[in-house]
Amino acid sequence: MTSDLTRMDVVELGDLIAAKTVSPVEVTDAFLGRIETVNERLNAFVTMTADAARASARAAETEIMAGRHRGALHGIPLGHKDLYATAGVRTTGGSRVLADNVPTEDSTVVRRLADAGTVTLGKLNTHEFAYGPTNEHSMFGPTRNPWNTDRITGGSSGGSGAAVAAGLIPIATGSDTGGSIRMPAACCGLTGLKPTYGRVSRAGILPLCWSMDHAGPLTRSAMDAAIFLGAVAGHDPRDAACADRPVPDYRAALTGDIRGLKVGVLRRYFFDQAQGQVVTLVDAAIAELSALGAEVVEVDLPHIEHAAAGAMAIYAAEATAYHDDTLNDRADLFTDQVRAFLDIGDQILAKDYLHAQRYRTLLGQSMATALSDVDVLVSPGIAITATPIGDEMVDINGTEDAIFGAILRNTEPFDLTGLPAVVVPCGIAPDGMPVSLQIAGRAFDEATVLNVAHAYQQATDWHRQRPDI
Amino acid sequence: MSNRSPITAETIMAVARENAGHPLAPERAASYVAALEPILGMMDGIRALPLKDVEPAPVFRPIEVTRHDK
Repeated sequence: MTSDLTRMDVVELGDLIAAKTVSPVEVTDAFLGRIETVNERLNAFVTMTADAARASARAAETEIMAGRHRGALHGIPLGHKDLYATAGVRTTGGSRVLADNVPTEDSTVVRRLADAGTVTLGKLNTHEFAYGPTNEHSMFGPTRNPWNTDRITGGSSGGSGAAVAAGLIPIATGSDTGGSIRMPAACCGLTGLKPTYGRVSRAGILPLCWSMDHAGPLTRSAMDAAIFLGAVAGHDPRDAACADRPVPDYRAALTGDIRGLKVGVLRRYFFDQAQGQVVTLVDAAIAELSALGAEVVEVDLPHIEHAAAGAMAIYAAEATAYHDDTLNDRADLFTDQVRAFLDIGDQILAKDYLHAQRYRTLLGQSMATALSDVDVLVSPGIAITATPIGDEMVDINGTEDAIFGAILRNTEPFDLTGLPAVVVPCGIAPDGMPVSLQIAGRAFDEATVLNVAHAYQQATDWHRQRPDI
Repeated sequence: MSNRSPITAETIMAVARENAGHPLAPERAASYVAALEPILGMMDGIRALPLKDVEPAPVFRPIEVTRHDK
């Protein structure tokens, strides 16, 4: 029974807990046992809170047995990206700069998940200060992909990706500034949701770039992501960007019916520089959406080719501003790659930053125009499969391309525009690594985006594939 | 379009030291030249876009407050 529990998703575990078939204590022990045997090979968890987890699980068990069931997340184990403040638990951002940082207060998302009854097992590795897409550069060392431990997990929520994919936890928190939820989800064969900018509070999460940071989950299914979003979304006065808008019942919105929905395929830019093995599987996934009753059309986004430049100008400027004091006093504590990015931020002129922010408006208008004609936009989640740890270049159809640029290309446009986007696994490439489909939609319409993902997952079983580790 | 001159290690060191307050070793500055030049070149592409009537995305929000005794 114990080994089976670690292969289940949140819905399956939650149903068993609600029915009192298993207790949160059994579930927690099963995942802690799995971490004990597997984590050393992945370097996903960097701080464990096993004693506190067992205490939380016992409390949840007592409440549930007394008839006080809080909902679908009650008694569910999870892990938090080590960017999220956790009261009394070390929060490093993967950096020696914060090696001894112990917050006194939880981040809003951590608090809301705890209120929903979750059981925190520990903290998860991250690319240092979330400033990179591979999870190779962290004070704890690189995180390894459970599908092939010589490969990257993608980042910066790489510990979250590895842990959920390997069955160390069924769900994890992440953050996404250029794609840092969706890239590790894509590399590790998971569902990764970046909600609309402002939908989920970032209060208590170490910032990378204030105007582009988003908080969200890495999960095994769209339904699990809907459950997570329902628990954490909503106004928070501690985050100035957090929107005061009603939060729908996401779980109820996932009907799986997408008949008549109009799907726009982003062929130019998003497919043009994607590996052939990725394009083949994503095209098959789009054909599946058509078979499910969606109308599929091609859509073009004017000005999309400048997305990388716009994103780089913005996060280089904002990240260097945030780390300015440390860069003055203790620059040697950063990893070489992150220090180089921060140093480069010194060279960005104020007018470059503002031109990039004007570009954001322009790109937002392009996407709004497209989404006034279609309901969702689809593309490959990322243009490549996970690359070997240590590599800097990747072959894309006979051309060598920088991995950092290639992996960010398809995700960062939706950080620039703040629109909701989810990736779902849609196949295994000939190199043995997962491939994903990205689905993006209108601002604050996560329900439609997740429903398309759910419909796809009702018709396929790629999200049920597990790495052999 | 920008008429920016190609960036040099000396420029990087000068900006880091004088404008940003982060002195850089010559060898570190030299290693950044290759990374910076294409980034700045890409940003030149943004300047060529029709941005004349486009405002930057972040909008200033006045902080609202009321007297706590009212």
